Amino acid sequence: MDQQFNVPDVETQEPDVEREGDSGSNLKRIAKYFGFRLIALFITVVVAIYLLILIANMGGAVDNIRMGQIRENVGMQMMAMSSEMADWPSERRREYEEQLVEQERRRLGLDQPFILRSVYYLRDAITLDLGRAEQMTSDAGSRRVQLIILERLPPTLMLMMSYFLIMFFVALFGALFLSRRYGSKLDKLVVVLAPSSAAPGWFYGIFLILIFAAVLGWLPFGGMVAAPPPRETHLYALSVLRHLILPVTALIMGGFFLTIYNWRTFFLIYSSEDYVEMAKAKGLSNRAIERKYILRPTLPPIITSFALGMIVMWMGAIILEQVFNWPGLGRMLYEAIGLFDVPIIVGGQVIYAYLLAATVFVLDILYALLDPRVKMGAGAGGNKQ
Amino acid sequence: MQKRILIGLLVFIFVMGVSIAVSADDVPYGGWLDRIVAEEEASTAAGVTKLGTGDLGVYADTITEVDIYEMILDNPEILYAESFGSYNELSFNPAGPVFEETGKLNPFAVARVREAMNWLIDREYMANEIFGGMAVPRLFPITSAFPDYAAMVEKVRELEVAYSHNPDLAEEVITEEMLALEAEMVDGVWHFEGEPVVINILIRSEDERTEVGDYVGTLLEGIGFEVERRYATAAEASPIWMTGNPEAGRFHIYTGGWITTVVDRDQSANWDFFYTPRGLGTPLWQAYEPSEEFDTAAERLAQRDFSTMEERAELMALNMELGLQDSVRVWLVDRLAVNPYRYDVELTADLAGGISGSWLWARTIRNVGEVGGQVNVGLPSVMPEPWNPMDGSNWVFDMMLIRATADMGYMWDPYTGLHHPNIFESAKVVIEEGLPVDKTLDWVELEFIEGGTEVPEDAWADWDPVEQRFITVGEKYPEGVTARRAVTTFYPENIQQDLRWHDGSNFSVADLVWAHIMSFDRAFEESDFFDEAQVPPYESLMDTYRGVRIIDQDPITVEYYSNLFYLDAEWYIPSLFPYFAQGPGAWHNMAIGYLAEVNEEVAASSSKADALEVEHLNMIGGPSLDILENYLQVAMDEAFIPYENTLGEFISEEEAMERYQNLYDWYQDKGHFWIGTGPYYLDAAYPVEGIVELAVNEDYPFRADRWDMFVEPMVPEVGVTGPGAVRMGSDLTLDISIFFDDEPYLSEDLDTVSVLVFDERDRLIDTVTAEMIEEGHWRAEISGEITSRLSFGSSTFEAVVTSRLVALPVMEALSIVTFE
Repeated sequence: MDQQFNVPDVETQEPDVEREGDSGSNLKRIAKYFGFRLIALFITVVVAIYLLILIANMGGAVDNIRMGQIRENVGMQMMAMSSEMADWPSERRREYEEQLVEQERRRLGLDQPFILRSVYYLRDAITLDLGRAEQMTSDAGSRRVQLIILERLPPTLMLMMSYFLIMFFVALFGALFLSRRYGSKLDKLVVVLAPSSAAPGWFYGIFLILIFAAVLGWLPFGGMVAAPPPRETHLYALSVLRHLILPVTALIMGGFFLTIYNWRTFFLIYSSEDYVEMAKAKGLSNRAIERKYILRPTLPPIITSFALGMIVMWMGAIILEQVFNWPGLGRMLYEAIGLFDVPIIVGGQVIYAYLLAATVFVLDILYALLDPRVKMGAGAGGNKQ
Repeated sequence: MQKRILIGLLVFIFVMGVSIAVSADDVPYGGWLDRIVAEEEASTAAGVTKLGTGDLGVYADTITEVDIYEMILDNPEILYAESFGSYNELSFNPAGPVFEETGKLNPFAVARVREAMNWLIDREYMANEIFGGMAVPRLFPITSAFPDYAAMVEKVRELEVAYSHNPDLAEEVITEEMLALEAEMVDGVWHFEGEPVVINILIRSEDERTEVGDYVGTLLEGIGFEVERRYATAAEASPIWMTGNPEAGRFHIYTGGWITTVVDRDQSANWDFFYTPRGLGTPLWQAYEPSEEFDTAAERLAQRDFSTMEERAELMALNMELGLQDSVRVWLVDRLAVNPYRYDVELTADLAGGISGSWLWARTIRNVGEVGGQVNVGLPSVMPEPWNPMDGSNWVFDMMLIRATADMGYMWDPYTGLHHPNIFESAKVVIEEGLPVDKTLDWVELEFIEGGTEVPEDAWADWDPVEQRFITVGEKYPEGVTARRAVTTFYPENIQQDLRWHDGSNFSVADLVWAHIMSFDRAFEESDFFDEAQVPPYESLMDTYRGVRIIDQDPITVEYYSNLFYLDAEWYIPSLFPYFAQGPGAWHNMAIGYLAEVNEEVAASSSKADALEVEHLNMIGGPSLDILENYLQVAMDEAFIPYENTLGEFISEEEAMERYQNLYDWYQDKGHFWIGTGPYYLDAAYPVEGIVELAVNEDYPFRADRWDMFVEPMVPEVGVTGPGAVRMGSDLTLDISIFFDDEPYLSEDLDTVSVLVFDERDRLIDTVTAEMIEEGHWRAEISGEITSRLSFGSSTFEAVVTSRLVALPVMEALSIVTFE
């Protein structure tokens, strides 16, 4: 709050020419700040991605697992071919077996040292090329990681956006509402129900499926659309909406009361600030107080929460998507982890890392715009007093 | 009045005529259903619940979880078919007896210690308690539901008794061998060079093998070993047991598991594969050191070094005994899987592969008592990989759907593994004299010829990728060549008019020739279509392939010459019918894939696609479709005839244009390039949603009831009756009833009916063959000489019935008190 009471110093009385120079230097300062910020974020992303590559490959130990799997698969093939190989001498069998192993080894790039491949992985990741999957393919049959991810993105966004937008705005305005009715029965009910969020959404999902699909038969068990899918677009959309009801409800149930409880506590703290009391004393309407004196100063954390919540959606809901058979990114990631399909694991995380970095960067700007207390660049927070 | 009678009569005749006509038309062409909708349901519990609510008609997973099995049993609306494809074992590390890298003792380097493990473990306990009844004990590398087991059942029963649970004997043998290894027992724990002997068990953590590993560990602890249990997933375990150095001593025992998805009629090579270094080149296999006698016996059996089935049976019996003495693998159980479906649906499941592994599922599936309609089929995964006939998805659930759209020349009997003609009509098989080949079914004619069959000079023996023509036998083998097996396949008349691809194109000889070219061209570096992955299969083919000749184009008659033979003359009749490794394909829809691949825009195999960094050819979705559409246009513009130097003889320009136009119309209508000749066609594929729609192919030339005889496995119901007691030395008569569904089981469908006689200590005393009294009633006369060899106490008389219709042998025991 200090700067609001700053006494204008001499520099503010400088002639216009000087102020233009100041403005130019401010721009330069801001540009320099953003430049450094971008570079710092980029380096952070690169380091994080490389660490991820190392971890996802267990420092190269995944190669041994791969070789084991290749040998096992080839072993099964050899067993199945025992009739054809009946007359083959041992050497011929070994040669054949090694041919099969070598082919798969080369396909997976295991003929190159891991450290070299890790650099290729990093290059593909940084350039967002994302490379080719080792085991998985997109539902439409492509091995390009980009396509695999892009294909699963719409279902995940549909599910998570539905959940997130409902959850965010209902919780936000519900919390505001409750913060004005502190101690009411409704408020107490929310406090009592807050621990219900200790259980994740998929846990509620199982019960919802049991009740509404298995017992009552009102809603589908899972999946994204009825089988066979309606051929008309509007009926298809209606079917998708119907399939969204249970997973979205499960997600909301897994977080609603705790979120509303958090926001309500947050608003309560701000509601008891002196300037709010003063506004009340001045006789301002509740709506005006909420809008100008409570929401405005709480906007940066709300926006932060919204923005970070949005990018978390990128990862989908791994277990919930499994429970509801939802063909999203969460399931994709689950399958990729099970198959040690490193390019897909890395690909998903790379986009998350970029989104996170971009969000942090944009938030920096938004904070400065929304909150006059926040300054950027050299001397930020330390204007001449 | 007369007029009324006349009208009434006419109305009656009309109604009767219509109803007779309707009744004849009740059996549709193609499949029984109008539509099959396959949808993804990854959770078995949810799949079974959906069956209960009617959301699914079939859940085509092979379920082995006991709790899910109980869910099925609890719901009267859910039926199930049993299948026996997977089995479990203990793999021992035979390195040592002292590991080179650690200096620790490995008791399992000693064959007798491994053999003793057969007595230590209780397979009945495992089957009933660990696997909850969803398993049957197993001692050999042959499956108890497959023909070899039934054929060898007497030896099997003898050895099963000899190696039944006997922990005292196990401990005695192990103690003896441990002392010989200079280990000593200190405070109840085996020690070697002053340190406790620790057994590392590598335990798979995904299924009941966790309990198996724990159980074996507990047994070993009970006889004085320290046990270290290491739980691992398949991926984590592979580098240790499969590729790791056995001398590193990182495991002593691994809880292994294997699977067979078809009824294998000849499992005799399994001893060679599982017990000798010839099996695989991995370090574990290379550490195997079977005795010379076992090694020779296993190799002879695998290489079919016998001339009669009796000689084979003797070799099998020898391998069974020697395998148990060697026991680098101790077989535990055959897993029983259930394949659930609703009571109002019927279909065929394979004895090995269940519903998902069955060829006949789509050909028999129907709503009971109805024609038409729809059945929703739940699958654990749908379309996880691209579909293309040559090297597309080989996921079992994709293949299940693909089979609905496809035909093969022959069709599998789901209960015996024998082949029946499907598209072709009959075959003549000529085998080199002295080879142990037999036939069971009438559609095949079997002959033997001294020294094999001379291959005609004009038969196609190889491929010239530059000139794009077949090399004849005369060119490749100027001195002439013979084949141990010559097969002539006869297609029915009019098949080229009656059988159509789903896009409306007529099936033709060109499709056969195209399919044959595909076995060769991709393996040559000089070919534009070269794919490195095809070299090993080509080389493998050329080891035995001697030639092919199309001797008549209408009706199609094909001769095939090879040195590869099977014990059953009916097996794998090489008709050249265009079913590839992963599905059906006509020359024209595959030709556009060919064009796309030679232009390096897609690749049929995933390895080539990865090497070129292009799309893996997918004929039902994804980026491949646009590419294929472009090349379809190219093919239409140029009236493209692939391999014109060869196929030009079989394809006219008009036919090529007609086919491309059909395919174009098909693509405009269906949005994909997948065509087969099967009873259903792919109507729509929703890859992201995980849904596939199959619609009935009304142009199919065969009616839907063609394979109905395989809807239910005719497992004989056997009963044995006899006196409660018998005096030793006196004759004994046992009556055996053999029925199915309250009808006598016909003797012509039975293979053997015999009685095994065990004494009070379960030792096999003798085997007696039963005689038929009348259909369904058999009698076994046990002579006084046999009963005189029994001892005082309760003896067991076990009737063993093997059928020609189902590979699964049926055993029914009767206990009779024997007294002096």
